Amino acid sequence: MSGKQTPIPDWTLEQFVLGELPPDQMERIEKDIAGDPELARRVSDLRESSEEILRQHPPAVFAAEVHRRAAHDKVVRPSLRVRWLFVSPALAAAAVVILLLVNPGILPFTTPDESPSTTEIRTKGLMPTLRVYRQQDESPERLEAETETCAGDVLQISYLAAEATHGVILSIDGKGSVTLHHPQHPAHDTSLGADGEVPLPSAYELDAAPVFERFFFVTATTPLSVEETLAAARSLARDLGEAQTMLLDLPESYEQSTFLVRKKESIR
Amino acid sequence: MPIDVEAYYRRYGPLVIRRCRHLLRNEDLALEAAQDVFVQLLRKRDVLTDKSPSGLLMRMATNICLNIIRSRKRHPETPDDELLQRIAQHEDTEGTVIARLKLRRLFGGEQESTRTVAVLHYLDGLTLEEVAAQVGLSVSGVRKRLRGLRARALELEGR
Repeated sequence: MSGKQTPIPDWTLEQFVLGELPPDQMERIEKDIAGDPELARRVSDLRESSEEILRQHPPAVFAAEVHRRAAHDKVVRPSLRVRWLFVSPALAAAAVVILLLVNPGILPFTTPDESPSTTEIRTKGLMPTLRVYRQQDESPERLEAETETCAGDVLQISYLAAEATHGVILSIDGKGSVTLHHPQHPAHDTSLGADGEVPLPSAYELDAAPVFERFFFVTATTPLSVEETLAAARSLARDLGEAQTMLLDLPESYEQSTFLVRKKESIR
Repeated sequence: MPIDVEAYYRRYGPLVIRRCRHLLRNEDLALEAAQDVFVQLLRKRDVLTDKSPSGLLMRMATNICLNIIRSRKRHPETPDDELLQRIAQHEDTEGTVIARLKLRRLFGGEQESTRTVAVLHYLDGLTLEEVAAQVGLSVSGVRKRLRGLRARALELEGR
């Protein structure tokens, strides 16, 4: 450290890593990083720490616990702590099984040509889910949420309808553009295929929009209004921060699942 | 607008957990405090107005951790622990209504508690200007609150 300036507080650096500082401050810190190996190391450590925390506390497990606590309308106090995530490997294993049942998106890799009979059994009672594959020379690569992608990558979207009969699939990109994937036209029928994992008729090539592409799968057991769903997406897309983390403002009777991929050239 | 907790956690969870770990120095408590943050976020989603969620979430985490520190009253192990406990024990001039108003402050743009302001300045090392920007106060407002806190601390110590 040269001592010529005060070290940047961790608080500020956290916001920098998320790209949530004012533009002038972002620019200043980027310049500082270029000339300060120690600062570059701190930024790198933060990113590694984030990856480690997400491995330690998987998003599906964390979100399930938050929903459980919110549903019980109580915030657990230190003296009343629930330690089920830590005290018992058996309970933790049971929790993983439950999560696999409610969220097939975290199931181990399966290919689109998986036996329909197997998939049929699995989808009974599950949540509607999106799966995203990146087309490659050899075989399609099934992507995990937050995977880094590039402009030009061709993505094949497929869905598991579970018990939903109708659905709309759309995406919002880092420019705030909304693209409809299913049905192919707003006036078309929103019916979903019930036969296990259903690939959409055509693949989707990512354009140069920065930062992210987030897919939404809105489902119901009755026909959906595509226009209403698109309008909710356009509204959400006005704020690109919220477009990465919030759901569409639609009736609660609609189920929503999402899948976000990152754009490599925009990763901070 | 509904919150996708899983997506929110993917983006902001690590920083919330880091914040809680830093303040509580206990992995189990930190995870539960982080979950508290997201439960509050979920409950108040309809009035969420903050355009910089990272700052909001770190302030929420700070408040929740201070409440936990206050309730634990364990022996401080480091100078930072001692500082945090002293700040956590501080009664804001607004008195007992602060707990009731805290969420409204966080989500509705109302003023932040003095305790959080103190943590940001004394523990996190943010300048008065940076604290002011984070909590939506003027610099003089931040200075005034810190002065009040110092005066009260001196009173309590009988000096």
